[in-house]
Amino acid sequence: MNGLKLYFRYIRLQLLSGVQYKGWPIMILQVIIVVISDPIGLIFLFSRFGSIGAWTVERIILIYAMAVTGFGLAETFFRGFDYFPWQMIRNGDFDRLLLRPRSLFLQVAGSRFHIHRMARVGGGIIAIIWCLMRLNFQPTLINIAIIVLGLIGGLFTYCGVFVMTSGIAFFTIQGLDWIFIFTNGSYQVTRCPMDYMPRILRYMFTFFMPMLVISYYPASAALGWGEALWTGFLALPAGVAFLMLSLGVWRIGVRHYKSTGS
Amino acid sequence: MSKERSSFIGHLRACLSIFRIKTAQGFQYRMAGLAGATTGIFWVLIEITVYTIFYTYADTREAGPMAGLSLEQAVSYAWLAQIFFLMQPMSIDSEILGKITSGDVGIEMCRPMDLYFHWFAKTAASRLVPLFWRGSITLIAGLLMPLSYRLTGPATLTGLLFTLISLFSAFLLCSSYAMLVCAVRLNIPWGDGPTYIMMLIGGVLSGGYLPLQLWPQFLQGFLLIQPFAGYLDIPLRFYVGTLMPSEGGWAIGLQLAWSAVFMVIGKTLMSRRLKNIVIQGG
Amino acid sequence: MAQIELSGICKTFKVSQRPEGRFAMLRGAFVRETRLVKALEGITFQIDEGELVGYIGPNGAGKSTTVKIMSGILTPDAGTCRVMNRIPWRERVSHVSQIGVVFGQRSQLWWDVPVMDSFSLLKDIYNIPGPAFIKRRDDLTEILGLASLLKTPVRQLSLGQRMRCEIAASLLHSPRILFLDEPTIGLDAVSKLELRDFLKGENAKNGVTMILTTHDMDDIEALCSRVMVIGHGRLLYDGQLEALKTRYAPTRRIRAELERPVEAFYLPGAEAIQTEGETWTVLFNPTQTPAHEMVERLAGRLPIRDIVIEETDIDEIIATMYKEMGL
Repeated sequence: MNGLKLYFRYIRLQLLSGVQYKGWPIMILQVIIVVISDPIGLIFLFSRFGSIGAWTVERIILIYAMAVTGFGLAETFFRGFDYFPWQMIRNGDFDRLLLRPRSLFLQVAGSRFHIHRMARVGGGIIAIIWCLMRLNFQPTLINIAIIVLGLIGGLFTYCGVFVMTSGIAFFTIQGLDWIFIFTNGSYQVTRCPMDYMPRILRYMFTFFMPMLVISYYPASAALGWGEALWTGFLALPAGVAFLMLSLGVWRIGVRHYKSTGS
Repeated sequence: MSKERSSFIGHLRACLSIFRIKTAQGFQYRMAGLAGATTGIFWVLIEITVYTIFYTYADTREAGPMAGLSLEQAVSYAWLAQIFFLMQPMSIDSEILGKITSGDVGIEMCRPMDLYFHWFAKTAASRLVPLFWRGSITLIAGLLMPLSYRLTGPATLTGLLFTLISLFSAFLLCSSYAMLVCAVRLNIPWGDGPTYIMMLIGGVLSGGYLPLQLWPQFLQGFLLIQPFAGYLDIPLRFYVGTLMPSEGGWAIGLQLAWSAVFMVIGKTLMSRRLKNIVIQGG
Repeated sequence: MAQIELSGICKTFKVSQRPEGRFAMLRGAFVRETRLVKALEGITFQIDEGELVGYIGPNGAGKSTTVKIMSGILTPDAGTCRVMNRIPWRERVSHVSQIGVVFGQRSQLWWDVPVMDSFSLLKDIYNIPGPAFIKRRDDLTEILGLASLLKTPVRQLSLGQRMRCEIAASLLHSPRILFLDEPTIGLDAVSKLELRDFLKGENAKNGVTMILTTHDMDDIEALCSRVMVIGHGRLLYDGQLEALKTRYAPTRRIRAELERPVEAFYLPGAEAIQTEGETWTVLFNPTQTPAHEMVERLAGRLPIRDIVIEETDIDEIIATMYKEMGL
């Protein structure tokens, strides 16, 4: 059975055992509350202070929502990597994965699936559509493609963040808290309007972890805010590139694990 | 000395020693503290940048001072919020949670001490532990920042005094709410969802995400009397000067009143559940 | 060529530990003291196809490390290892698809779902063709008595039941080699017997090579004729079990509880007799006098209330070995 089919079989298994768990509707509610409470401060600020020049609340929320939706997609489909450092390495369950004749990436990715994480994706997409409508979005084929590619690029980018975290986890657990800057911290940076964002943050989140490439530039290209059109299409390649980088870190981590045991 | 008084003092002493042990245990997590502090500092800096942008460039930039909070005050607030946010219950103490999920509560009850206070002491200690390393590093960073980003001094000295008193009652409030959450968790063994939601709501309403004064005007009345304002917003208002020491009485009183409410509800829920456990055998 | 060949395998681990002494906590913040632990030093042996080998040794001797190297999840520092003509850690996927590993302490089944679902997921993981899988699964279900367990989630099974499912799971893809790491730990006596019977049968019928690491001498007695003893990272003995016992643990003990105290008297076959109140401890050499004969003799001459033949303690054997070898 090829890898993708096997991944979905894993997912099915997780779904079946997850539904048995009594609390799952509450978990969805929980995610919804998180999704709403995160940007609420920003929304209140806008309601009190009004817009910042051309930067209306819709603009900022659109960029924010693009990043968050990408994060949510990665969380939904690659949740196993999110759990990996804290559970699998500690339990020694990784050995079992090494003993199966299958790609390690696939096994870790499929090891967890929490359907309620989709609530974040749902919320994000609703926010995106709402903002696009308020911003006079022209739903041409190209514009829609830019947005969709942006989201897919976001999926790959954040998947890369999870994979890189797991790769580093082979070496140290302590250092992982720094990673939160790139996971939860990264889409918080979108709250700064681009014109006023400190340059160092701009560079970090464009060239290292391409969070802005999957959120701001596609939004700008689809709505004509001033950035060059071609930058809007960078989301997918940037995401893939970052994922490749992360897989490299992951492989180094696996090699380290095999030479030092658990 | 009457028997009740001596047993109460005995209880208190036992609570304090549990407290001491637990804080000593947490003392070793320096690296986690440093890493957490870095994340926190990064976060505050972004917050301050966002506030500065709004206060300086927004269409209605006077809205801030009109609401009673200047930029400088907002900056200090942000720093202190980042530090004392750690005191809030964000998760149930893992030790206690372990006992609940594994069903070992019965064993805990065999100890001579009342379970509520025992766990209270543990939870209280957990509230303080992150403050040591992560809190102090963040505090130092805040004081060292360049002027527009810096944590500035308190508005008045009496203000500082009231801040400290209020922080202590906030600590009690946090601990009693954490205990309430524990009690709820005891009654809902099948999942973390409800308790997590409880803690999240507490965090949002405490001012940790945005100073309560900057919330929409029509909510201001509600926001001041709701229990979670006491977590963070009330102590910080004393520091920043938006709450006068003269009003200190009712503000701190409010914190303590809510603490009492949480304690009573928590203890009742727990006692009822524990009676059940004794009858059914865990 | 042998199915498994190890030559000169060495493995050293770096273990970090807290610094001790003055200012230990302060130093600990900046510096990590590590010490080197030599887990394996020059392990060399060969195993042919179809053998049933016991791999014994005290805790920390290096058993698990060797198994990990042979299964390919650990890379050694020096030496060569070939299993079925492959280097295990270099060709992980093809190697792993032909071996099975059973860990006594950790389960490979998915916790919350019925055993059946675990099996069918394993079918997909190992790419077992449909008809072959059905036949194998049905065979194993029948021999191990799993029929009533298949629909139960793994977390609801008792340890004995789970172990049977584990073994079945590890054999679904018909591996040529089966590694078993403490498979009988924690099991009750009946389950242990059933498991041993099954392993013996599987080895005889299908010629599956089995390497069994264990602490329990009775497992070895029941299953293996060949044992390898490892201690301090070195292979101390590689040969027949009987020879091992004769050489290093010639004496066994019988403890008898009597109805009333009886003074010691001469008993043929007994090397030494200790009496303590109503308890008699009799030492004898089982190669000269089989245990059951000793028991008969005792029963014939003494008012016995209870009698126990003490098991040969692996640790005693190892200890004797160490002493003899001057370790």
